[in-house]
Amino acid sequence: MSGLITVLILGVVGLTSVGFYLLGGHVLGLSPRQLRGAVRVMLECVGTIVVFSIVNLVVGAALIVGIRLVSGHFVSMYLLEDETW
Amino acid sequence: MRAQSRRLELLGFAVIVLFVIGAFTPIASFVATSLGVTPQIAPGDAIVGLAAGRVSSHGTLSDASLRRAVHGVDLLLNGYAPLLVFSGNGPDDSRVARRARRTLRGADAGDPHLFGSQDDRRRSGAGEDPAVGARGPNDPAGHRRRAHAPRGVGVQARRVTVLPAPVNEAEWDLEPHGRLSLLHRTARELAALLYYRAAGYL
Repeated sequence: MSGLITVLILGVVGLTSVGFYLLGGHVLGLSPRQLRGAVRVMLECVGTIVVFSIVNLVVGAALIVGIRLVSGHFVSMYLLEDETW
Repeated sequence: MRAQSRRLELLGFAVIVLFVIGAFTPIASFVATSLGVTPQIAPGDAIVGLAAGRVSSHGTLSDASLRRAVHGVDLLLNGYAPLLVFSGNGPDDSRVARRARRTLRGADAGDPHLFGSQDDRRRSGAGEDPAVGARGPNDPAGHRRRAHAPRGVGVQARRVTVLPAPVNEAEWDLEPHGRLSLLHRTARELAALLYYRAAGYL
Protein backbone atom coordinates (compact mmCIF):
# COMPACT_ATOMS: atom_id res chain seq x y z
CA MET A 1 0.00 0.00 0.00
CA SER A 2 2.81 2.43 0.90
CA GLY A 3 4.52 1.59 -2.40
CA LEU A 4 1.34 2.44 -4.30
CA ILE A 5 1.04 5.78 -2.48
CA THR A 6 4.68 6.58 -3.28
CA VAL A 7 4.19 5.77 -6.97
CA LEU A 8 0.96 7.81 -7.05
CA ILE A 9 2.57 10.87 -5.44
CA LEU A 10 5.71 10.76 -7.57
CA GLY A 11 3.68 10.02 -10.69
CA VAL A 12 1.25 12.90 -10.22
CA VAL A 13 3.97 15.36 -9.19
CA GLY A 14 6.14 14.29 -12.13
CA LEU A 15 3.22 14.52 -14.55
CA THR A 16 2.19 18.03 -13.51
CA SER A 17 5.82 19.19 -13.45
CA VAL A 18 6.57 17.95 -16.96
CA GLY A 19 3.15 19.14 -18.17
CA PHE A 20 3.66 22.69 -16.94
CA TYR A 21 7.26 22.70 -18.24
CA LEU A 22 5.93 21.92 -21.69
CA LEU A 23 3.09 24.39 -21.28
CA GLY A 24 5.50 27.14 -20.25
CA GLY A 25 7.89 26.39 -23.11
CA HIS A 26 5.40 25.99 -25.92
CA VAL A 27 2.39 28.11 -24.97
CA LEU A 28 3.79 30.86 -22.74
CA GLY A 29 7.09 31.16 -24.59
CA LEU A 30 9.27 30.83 -21.47
CA SER A 31 12.87 29.69 -21.90
CA PRO A 32 14.59 26.92 -19.87
CA ARG A 33 17.12 29.52 -18.69
CA GLN A 34 14.31 31.39 -16.91
CA LEU A 35 13.28 28.15 -15.25
CA ARG A 36 16.81 27.66 -13.96
CA GLY A 37 16.78 31.14 -12.45
CA ALA A 38 13.37 30.56 -10.86
CA VAL A 39 14.57 27.29 -9.31
CA ARG A 40 17.60 29.05 -7.85
CA VAL A 41 15.40 31.75 -6.31
CA MET A 42 13.09 29.06 -4.94
CA LEU A 43 16.03 27.19 -3.38
CA GLU A 44 17.31 30.43 -1.88
CA CYS A 45 13.87 31.05 -0.34
CA VAL A 46 13.82 27.54 1.14
CA GLY A 47 17.31 28.04 2.55
CA THR A 48 16.27 31.37 4.07
CA ILE A 49 13.24 29.74 5.68
CA VAL A 50 15.50 27.08 7.23
CA VAL A 51 17.89 29.72 8.59
CA PHE A 52 15.04 31.69 10.14
CA SER A 53 13.52 28.53 11.63
CA ILE A 54 16.84 27.66 13.28
CA VAL A 55 17.27 31.21 14.58
CA ASN A 56 13.71 31.17 15.96
CA LEU A 57 14.34 27.85 17.74
CA VAL A 58 17.60 29.08 19.24
CA VAL A 59 15.94 32.29 20.47
CA GLY A 60 13.02 30.25 21.85
CA ALA A 61 15.41 27.92 23.70
CA ALA A 62 17.30 30.91 25.10
CA LEU A 63 14.00 32.42 26.30
CA ILE A 64 13.02 29.18 28.03
CA VAL A 65 16.40 28.90 29.75
CA GLY A 66 16.13 32.57 30.72
CA ILE A 67 12.65 32.08 32.22
CA ARG A 68 13.96 29.07 34.17
CA LEU A 69 16.87 31.08 35.53
CA VAL A 70 14.89 34.22 36.34
CA SER A 71 11.67 32.73 37.71
CA GLY A 72 13.02 29.49 39.12
CA HIS A 73 10.10 27.61 37.54
CA PHE A 74 10.67 24.67 35.26
CA VAL A 75 9.61 25.41 31.68
CA SER A 76 9.87 22.46 29.33
CA MET A 77 12.00 22.58 26.20
CA TYR A 78 9.29 20.45 24.63
CA LEU A 79 7.41 23.71 24.01
CA LEU A 80 9.76 24.03 21.04
CA GLU A 81 8.67 20.83 19.37
CA ASP A 82 5.70 22.30 17.52
CA GLU A 83 6.05 21.90 13.78
CA THR A 84 4.89 25.49 13.20
CA TRP A 85 8.38 26.72 14.13
CA MET B 1 26.36 38.68 -1.40
CA ARG B 2 26.58 36.21 -4.26
CA ALA B 3 28.35 33.67 -2.05
CA GLN B 4 25.65 34.08 0.58
CA SER B 5 22.93 33.45 -2.00
CA ARG B 6 24.84 30.39 -3.16
CA ARG B 7 25.03 29.06 0.40
CA LEU B 8 21.29 29.58 0.86
CA GLU B 9 20.63 27.79 -2.45
CA LEU B 10 22.74 24.83 -1.31
CA LEU B 11 20.98 24.75 2.04
CA GLY B 12 17.59 24.83 0.33
CA PHE B 13 18.67 22.08 -2.05
CA ALA B 14 19.93 19.96 0.85
CA VAL B 15 16.63 20.38 2.72
CA ILE B 16 14.59 19.38 -0.34
CA VAL B 17 16.82 16.34 -0.93
CA LEU B 18 16.45 15.40 2.75
CA PHE B 19 12.68 15.81 2.45
CA VAL B 20 12.48 13.55 -0.61
CA ILE B 21 14.81 10.92 0.89
CA GLY B 22 12.92 11.06 4.18
CA ALA B 23 9.53 10.71 2.53
CA PHE B 24 10.30 8.07 -0.10
CA THR B 25 12.99 5.86 1.43
CA PRO B 26 13.08 3.92 4.72
CA ILE B 27 15.94 6.05 6.06
CA ALA B 28 13.74 7.33 8.92
CA SER B 29 13.19 3.76 10.12
CA PHE B 30 16.93 3.04 9.92
CA VAL B 31 17.80 6.14 11.94
CA ALA B 32 15.01 5.52 14.48
CA THR B 33 16.12 1.91 14.95
CA SER B 34 19.75 2.87 15.42
CA LEU B 35 18.83 5.50 18.03
CA GLY B 36 16.29 3.36 19.87
CA VAL B 37 17.05 1.78 23.22
CA THR B 38 16.97 -1.95 23.82
CA PRO B 39 14.11 -3.03 26.08
CA GLN B 40 15.24 -4.23 29.51
CA ILE B 41 12.05 -5.46 31.07
CA ALA B 42 12.56 -6.88 34.55
CA PRO B 43 10.80 -6.71 37.91
CA GLY B 44 11.23 -3.39 39.67
CA ASP B 45 9.80 -1.10 42.29
CA ALA B 46 7.73 1.02 39.94
CA ILE B 47 6.66 1.45 36.36
CA VAL B 48 6.96 5.04 35.20
CA GLY B 49 4.90 6.03 32.17
CA LEU B 50 6.41 9.17 30.69
CA ALA B 51 4.22 11.73 28.99
CA ALA B 52 4.53 12.23 25.25
CA GLY B 53 2.48 15.21 24.14
CA ARG B 54 -0.24 17.22 25.76
CA VAL B 55 -3.58 16.07 27.04
CA SER B 56 -6.44 17.63 25.07
CA SER B 57 -8.97 19.90 26.74
CA HIS B 58 -11.35 16.93 26.70
CA GLY B 59 -8.81 14.86 28.60
CA THR B 60 -7.73 12.75 25.63
CA LEU B 61 -4.16 11.47 25.61
CA SER B 62 -1.93 11.84 22.60
CA ASP B 63 -1.32 8.71 20.55
CA ALA B 64 2.16 8.14 21.97
CA SER B 65 1.05 8.82 25.56
CA LEU B 66 -1.85 6.41 25.18
CA ARG B 67 0.39 3.64 23.86
CA ARG B 68 2.82 4.19 26.72
CA ALA B 69 -0.03 4.16 29.23
CA VAL B 70 -1.41 0.90 27.83
CA HIS B 71 2.08 -0.63 27.84
CA GLY B 72 2.53 0.48 31.45
CA VAL B 73 -0.80 -1.08 32.46
CA ASP B 74 0.20 -4.25 30.65
CA LEU B 75 3.48 -4.40 32.59
CA LEU B 76 1.60 -3.73 35.83
CA LEU B 77 -0.89 -6.52 35.14
CA ASN B 78 2.00 -8.85 34.36
CA GLY B 79 3.38 -8.15 37.81
CA TYR B 80 6.60 -6.38 36.92
CA ALA B 81 6.07 -3.77 39.63
CA PRO B 82 3.45 -3.04 42.27
CA LEU B 83 3.07 0.61 41.28
CA LEU B 84 2.38 2.45 38.04
CA VAL B 85 3.16 6.16 37.88
CA PHE B 86 2.36 8.55 35.03
CA SER B 87 4.20 11.79 34.42
CA GLY B 88 2.93 14.99 32.85
CA ASN B 89 0.13 17.48 33.32
CA GLY B 90 -3.54 16.89 32.72
CA PRO B 91 -6.20 19.56 32.08
CA ASP B 92 -6.80 19.59 35.82
CA ASP B 93 -3.75 18.32 37.62
CA SER B 94 -4.52 20.08 40.90
CA ARG B 95 -6.16 16.96 42.35
CA VAL B 96 -3.17 14.86 41.29
CA ALA B 97 -0.74 17.38 42.80
CA ARG B 98 -2.68 17.43 46.09
CA ARG B 99 -2.75 13.64 46.19
CA ALA B 100 0.97 13.45 45.40
CA ARG B 101 1.84 15.88 48.18
CA ARG B 102 -0.35 13.99 50.61
CA THR B 103 1.19 10.65 49.66
CA LEU B 104 4.72 11.99 49.78
CA ARG B 105 4.09 13.40 53.23
CA GLY B 106 3.03 9.86 54.12
CA ALA B 107 6.17 8.55 52.49
CA ASP B 108 8.28 10.80 54.68
CA ALA B 109 6.47 9.28 57.63
CA GLY B 110 7.59 5.81 56.63
CA ASP B 111 5.12 4.84 53.91
CA PRO B 112 7.30 4.96 50.83
CA HIS B 113 5.70 5.45 47.44
CA LEU B 114 7.17 6.16 44.11
CA PHE B 115 6.11 9.18 42.18
CA GLY B 116 7.00 10.55 38.76
CA SER B 117 7.03 14.12 37.59
CA GLN B 118 7.47 16.17 34.48
CA ASP B 119 11.18 16.02 35.15
CA ASP B 120 11.15 12.29 34.48
CA ARG B 121 11.39 13.00 30.79
CA ARG B 122 14.71 14.73 31.14
CA ARG B 123 16.10 12.59 33.90
CA SER B 124 15.48 9.13 32.59
CA GLY B 125 16.53 9.24 28.98
CA ALA B 126 15.19 10.62 25.75
CA GLY B 127 11.62 11.08 26.89
CA GLU B 128 10.80 7.49 26.19
CA ASP B 129 8.23 5.07 27.33
CA PRO B 130 7.40 3.23 30.49
CA ALA B 131 10.47 2.41 32.52
CA VAL B 132 10.54 -0.53 34.86
CA GLY B 133 12.78 -1.05 37.81
CA ALA B 134 13.25 2.28 39.50
CA ARG B 135 15.49 0.82 42.14
CA GLY B 136 18.58 2.08 43.85
CA PRO B 137 21.70 0.14 42.93
CA ASN B 138 22.39 -0.91 46.48
CA ASP B 139 18.84 -1.46 47.55
CA PRO B 140 17.89 -4.80 49.00
CA ALA B 141 15.15 -6.45 46.97
CA GLY B 142 11.72 -5.29 47.93
CA HIS B 143 12.88 -2.10 49.59
CA ARG B 144 11.12 0.73 47.83
CA ARG B 145 12.45 4.19 47.44
CA ARG B 146 11.32 7.27 45.57
CA ALA B 147 12.26 7.31 41.93
CA HIS B 148 11.60 10.96 41.23
CA ALA B 149 9.76 13.45 43.34
CA PRO B 150 7.55 16.24 41.99
CA ARG B 151 9.13 19.66 42.27
CA GLY B 152 8.18 21.87 45.11
CA VAL B 153 7.20 19.22 47.62
CA GLY B 154 10.40 19.27 49.61
CA VAL B 155 11.67 15.84 48.67
CA GLN B 156 15.02 15.30 46.97
CA ALA B 157 15.36 12.80 44.14
CA ARG B 158 17.76 9.92 44.75
CA ARG B 159 19.80 7.91 42.34
CA VAL B 160 17.81 5.08 40.82
CA THR B 161 18.33 2.45 38.16
CA VAL B 162 16.01 2.88 35.19
CA LEU B 163 15.29 -0.02 32.88
CA PRO B 164 13.83 1.16 29.56
CA ALA B 165 10.70 -0.47 28.18
CA PRO B 166 10.14 1.34 24.88
CA VAL B 167 6.89 1.09 22.97
CA ASN B 168 7.77 3.19 19.95
CA GLU B 169 9.18 0.48 17.75
CA ALA B 170 10.28 1.67 14.34
CA GLU B 171 7.89 0.64 11.60
CA TRP B 172 9.10 -0.26 8.14
CA ASP B 173 5.97 -0.25 6.00
CA LEU B 174 5.21 3.43 6.41
CA GLU B 175 3.54 5.84 4.03
CA PRO B 176 5.45 9.03 3.10
CA HIS B 177 3.65 11.07 5.75
CA GLY B 178 4.42 8.42 8.37
CA ARG B 179 8.10 8.43 7.37
CA LEU B 180 8.33 12.20 7.67
CA SER B 181 6.55 12.05 11.01
CA LEU B 182 8.97 9.38 12.25
CA LEU B 183 11.91 11.46 10.98
CA HIS B 184 10.56 14.47 12.87
CA ARG B 185 10.13 12.48 16.10
CA THR B 186 13.59 10.96 15.71
CA ALA B 187 15.16 14.37 15.14
CA ARG B 188 13.33 15.68 18.23
CA GLU B 189 14.59 12.80 20.36
CA LEU B 190 18.11 13.26 19.01
CA ALA B 191 17.98 16.95 19.87
CA ALA B 192 16.64 16.04 23.33
CA LEU B 193 19.50 13.56 23.85
CA LEU B 194 22.08 16.16 22.88
CA TYR B 195 20.42 18.70 25.18
CA TYR B 196 20.30 16.23 28.10
CA ARG B 197 23.99 15.49 27.65
CA ALA B 198 24.88 19.17 27.36
CA ALA B 199 22.81 20.02 30.43
CA GLY B 200 24.34 17.17 32.42
CA TYR B 201 21.13 15.17 32.90
CA LEU B 202 22.73 12.10 31.29
